[in-house]
Amino acid sequence: MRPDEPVGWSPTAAHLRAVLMATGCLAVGVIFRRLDAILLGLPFLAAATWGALARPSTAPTVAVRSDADTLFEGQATTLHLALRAPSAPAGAALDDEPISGDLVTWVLTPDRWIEVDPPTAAMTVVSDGGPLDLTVDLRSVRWGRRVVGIQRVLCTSAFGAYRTTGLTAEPVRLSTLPLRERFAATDVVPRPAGVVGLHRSRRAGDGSEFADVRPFRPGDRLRRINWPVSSRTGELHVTSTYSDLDTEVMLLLDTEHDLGRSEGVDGRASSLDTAVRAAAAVAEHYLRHGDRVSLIDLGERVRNVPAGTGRRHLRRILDILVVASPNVSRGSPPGRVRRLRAGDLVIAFSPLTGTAVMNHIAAIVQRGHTVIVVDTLPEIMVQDDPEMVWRSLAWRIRLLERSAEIERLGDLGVPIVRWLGDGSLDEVLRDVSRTAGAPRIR
Amino acid sequence: MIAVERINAGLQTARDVGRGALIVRLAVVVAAAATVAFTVAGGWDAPDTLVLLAILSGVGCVVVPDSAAGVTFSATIVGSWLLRAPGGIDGWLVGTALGLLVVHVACAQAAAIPLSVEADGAVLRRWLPTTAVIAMLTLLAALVLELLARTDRPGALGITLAALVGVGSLTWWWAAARAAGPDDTR
Repeated sequence: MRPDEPVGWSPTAAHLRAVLMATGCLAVGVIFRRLDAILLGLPFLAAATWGALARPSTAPTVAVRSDADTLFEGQATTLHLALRAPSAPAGAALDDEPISGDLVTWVLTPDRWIEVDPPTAAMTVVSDGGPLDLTVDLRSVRWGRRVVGIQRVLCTSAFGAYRTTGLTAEPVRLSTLPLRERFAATDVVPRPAGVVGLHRSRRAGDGSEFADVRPFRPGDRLRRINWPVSSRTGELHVTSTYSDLDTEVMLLLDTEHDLGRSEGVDGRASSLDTAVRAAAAVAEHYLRHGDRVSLIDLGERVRNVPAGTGRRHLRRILDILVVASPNVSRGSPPGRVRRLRAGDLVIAFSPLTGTAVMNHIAAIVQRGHTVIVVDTLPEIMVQDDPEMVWRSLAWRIRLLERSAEIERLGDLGVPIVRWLGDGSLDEVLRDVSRTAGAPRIR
Repeated sequence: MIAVERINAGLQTARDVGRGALIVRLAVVVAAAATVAFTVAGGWDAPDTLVLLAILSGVGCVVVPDSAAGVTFSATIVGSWLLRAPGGIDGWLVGTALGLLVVHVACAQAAAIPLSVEADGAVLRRWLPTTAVIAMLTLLAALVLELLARTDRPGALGITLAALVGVGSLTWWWAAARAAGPDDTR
């Protein structure tokens, strides 16, 4: 269907066939006095007459809308296709104006990551001739931004005599957020600094975590007085708490390569899938605990999110994550991560196969920051493929090089963990907190 | 695209063929075969070239229903009858007329249902009642024409034309009534 094609009803090959055959047979029958020609032409005459009479007066307009424009991976929504008379305003009640013919065929624009019921994303339905409402169930199976549109809508009138041309509709834009798996980590961050988060401090202060009941001292707030204990002992006592702390977590996303095969939310995950999903889950976890989270996409220069807090900030991070794509050429130099403050926690998500991310991590560690690396290389990529000997050999050599690079990072004190969802970072967070709390010898 | 990919793509297309589209195309095959069979079995010597052309265009109707294959098929069948048949009304002629009607309607429906599209029973039955009505009209017309042929009176052709106008008017009235009335008899 060409975009500049005029909208309207056009006669089909079937109608032309009926008209030609009816005219020809009747002419031959009359001229040559052949009754058999007249009988053979009669069905065509009836079909042509019927088809011409049932021709709808005007072509419909098509509108497409979705119940939701933002989904999570694996979530479903409904797409509504509405065929209306051109004069009818949006949302108008249905009238009986003949516009849609007998059969309506719709074909959606194919998208690998959108599952449609029916799976062929195309269907022919019966119409009573008037306005028509159709619903299509969609399920988004991978994070990202998608455009769901109508590739073709064909209305066919009685006996296939006329068919609509030029019917188009504005596509619907769907954003699928990578937040699916719930992530929680132990309430430990290496060096909490602020005073607005939910991490428990070892220092007494204004917070929510109970510490002790102690005698009143000048400077204590009156609302902290513990009246039951005070009345029992005859001396003013207050309830003391530990202060709540927060930290800044920088998420470093390595989008230099996307290794492995992506099969959506129900199948295998590529390295970029794991990185994006893990980054989203970690961001959601720390933002829920009142921490500040920033994001740096190493593959893109402009897609960085400065540190922030709250639900709106989470949405901002997710909106950047959904457009992540592998890009080797636009990798940034190591000097880019400069805005780190002392005590910030850096979590890098990388398959650790490129040199740029290794240089970044090494540079950050050498400046004294705590870095945790989440290894996103799919497990299947580490195994040999017996059917492809040379490729397997080359890949094994690359993996050996990678092991050496990982060891070098280990020597710098960078813990590397595989992403296993909930609790993946618990052990390593405890270790780095213990290390950060130990006295330093310079 | 290498050969293996082409084969895989072809097989994938074959796997994606909807059942409704398949049934409609099967109807085209059956109706076209029956039409050719009625033409060949008419007791007169049908021209081999036209029969062959009818078979080829019948295949074309199945593969590309929205094309000139349909009119080629119908024209070759009608041409066979006009060139060699004696000109009377008999059962084979009525069968051929009904076969042409079914080929025409099934081709039109196949053109409205692309191969990969799902279509349920309601879609397939959509034009069944109207086709049945036209088939009945054709049988009625065959009866009238046969009676007229037997009378062998001058002006029989005028009566035939009047009968045709009557049939056309009846169709017109039926279609107009359907379009106007709330009752859907299609």
